[in-house]
Amino acid sequence: MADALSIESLVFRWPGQQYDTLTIDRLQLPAASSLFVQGPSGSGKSTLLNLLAGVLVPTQGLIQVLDQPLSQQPGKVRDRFRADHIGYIFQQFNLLPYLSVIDNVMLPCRLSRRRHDKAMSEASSLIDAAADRLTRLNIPDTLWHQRVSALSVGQQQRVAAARALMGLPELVIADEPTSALDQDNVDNFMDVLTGQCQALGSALVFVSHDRHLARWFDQELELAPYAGSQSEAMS
Amino acid sequence: MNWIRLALASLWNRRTTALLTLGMVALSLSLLLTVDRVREDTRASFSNTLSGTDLIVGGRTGSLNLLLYSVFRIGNATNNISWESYSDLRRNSAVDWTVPLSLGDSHRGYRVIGTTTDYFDHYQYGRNQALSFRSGQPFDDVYDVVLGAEVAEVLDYQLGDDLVVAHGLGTTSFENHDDKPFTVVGILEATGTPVDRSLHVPLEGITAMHVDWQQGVKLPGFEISADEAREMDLTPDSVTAVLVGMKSRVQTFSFQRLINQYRAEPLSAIIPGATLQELWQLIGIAENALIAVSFMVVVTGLLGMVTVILAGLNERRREMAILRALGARPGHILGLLMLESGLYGVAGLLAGLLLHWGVIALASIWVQGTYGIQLTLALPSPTLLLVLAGFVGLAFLVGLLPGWKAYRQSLSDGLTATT
Repeated sequence: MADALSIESLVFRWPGQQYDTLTIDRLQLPAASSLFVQGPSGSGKSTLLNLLAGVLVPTQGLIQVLDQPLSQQPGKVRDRFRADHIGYIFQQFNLLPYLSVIDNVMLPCRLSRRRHDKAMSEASSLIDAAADRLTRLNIPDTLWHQRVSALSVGQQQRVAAARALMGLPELVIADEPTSALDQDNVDNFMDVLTGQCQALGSALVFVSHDRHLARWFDQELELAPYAGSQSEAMS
Repeated sequence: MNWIRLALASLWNRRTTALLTLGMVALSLSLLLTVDRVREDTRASFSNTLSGTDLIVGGRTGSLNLLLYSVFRIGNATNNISWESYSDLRRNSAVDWTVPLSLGDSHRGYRVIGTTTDYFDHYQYGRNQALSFRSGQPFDDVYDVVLGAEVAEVLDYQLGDDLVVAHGLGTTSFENHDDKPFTVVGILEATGTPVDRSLHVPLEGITAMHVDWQQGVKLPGFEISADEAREMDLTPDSVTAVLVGMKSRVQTFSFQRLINQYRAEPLSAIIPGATLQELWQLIGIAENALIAVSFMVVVTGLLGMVTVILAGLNERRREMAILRALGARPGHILGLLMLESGLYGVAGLLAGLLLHWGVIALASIWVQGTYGIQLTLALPSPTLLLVLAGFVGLAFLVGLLPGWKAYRQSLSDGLTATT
């Protein structure tokens, strides 16, 4: 099976800056396994995630996602690839406030035919597929048709995870999704997220400054704080 | 794709702002639509009022004034034509027919016209349509009256009813000719012209009403009853205006010149169509100004709409970042905002049309009664439809401005917008 992710000689530097924001010599993540990326503020975590999602391209080096040389493809292809193969979870405010909980979860399948078809192959309808994900992430069905604002922050993050897992993406990327949660919620969230990624066969790249979370993951990558780096200030 | 649904849901989420913006666009469009409709209908109404008449003759006055008071019953005559002059012009060999008009009295706000039965034979409106009777027949007796359709309907008169004519033209008059009531003998079909709002009596009736009057006041202690008046010579001293039909159209111009140079009395003769053109030229200036203002209001509405979208962009960075994370291309973001802008345009156009029709439906009752202009509930004119299509296109196009800004924003934010 293809690697979920492989990086070689990656260098990223914001245009006009004197220091590299991010350098990674070599990284390999097998399919369906999980990677914890730890680093303090300013270590280029967000930059790495933008690179993996294909929103940014490296200054030098190669990023392959699912054996696709993502970093060498044009923006249109990278955007298409992200829609088809990557689930993304933000720190917070993941959900569109004008859609119901279940509509938010179905959104990836509305934007990607591939994920739509995959969702339809495992359930009889998109709603059933979304219901399955919401159940897996412990969202009670009384909330499914509620407005997003009716949910607690912890629930919102789990809905975001449910959305990221819609249509079986090969890779889920999470950008400090627990930073707004209290400790009980963090444990609960980490349990269901890592558990369901494993159950559904999605690789997981998880970024946080909190090294205590490392125990949930197969691999760990530590980003060094970079003296001249200002990248976090840009985010 | 479901971009339209997303754009609509996003708009609904901001519905207070969105509805106000929509209202602004709709209001600006309905102004343009209404101004254009009133213009069209006014023209149609004026053009349809009189046809088949070659010349209108009156006392020396401006040609527009003569046209307005003789045909459209707007304003007042300044000079009359003496009966001798009228008889003279009627005898002219080039003249086929004449319809004398005597104006100056009214009945509950509707004008009373003294004329002859020739009026019912020769007055034509629209495309040479003659007057026809819904019921009854032309007047015969001195105290008979024939009502226009609207007069009969609004005041609920039937054949055989009596009514009293007031002196002067106000809606309420203190001076009534109540000693000489008139009997309704005929009611005309509706024509959509000022005829509907007129009462027609014989010239002799007008004279009879005024035999015991002098200088516009009733002579005290000098009363002549209706039946006594009937025995007197009721040939009028003068008439207000005369509609003239020529035997041959070719003679119109020479006869017009003849009348304008008439020696016994200063007279004016006008060709209705030519004078109507003068009227259009005059009104055209005001119309163009109104249309220009309406266009500017529409442009202002568009600018306001773009401003609202632009102002809201910053707080929607989050929304854009989520869409980007789900695989939306920057081009999608641009398209989404153009779609939003275009939706404002389309919805604004529909709402504007509804608003316009509502205004016309409400205003037409009052306008018909007051100005005799029939406002129609109709689709805009072909020219205006083109303009409206252009407007919708423009509404999508101006979405490029916020779209471009969001495009740049989403490129620089990537997936890390924090707002």
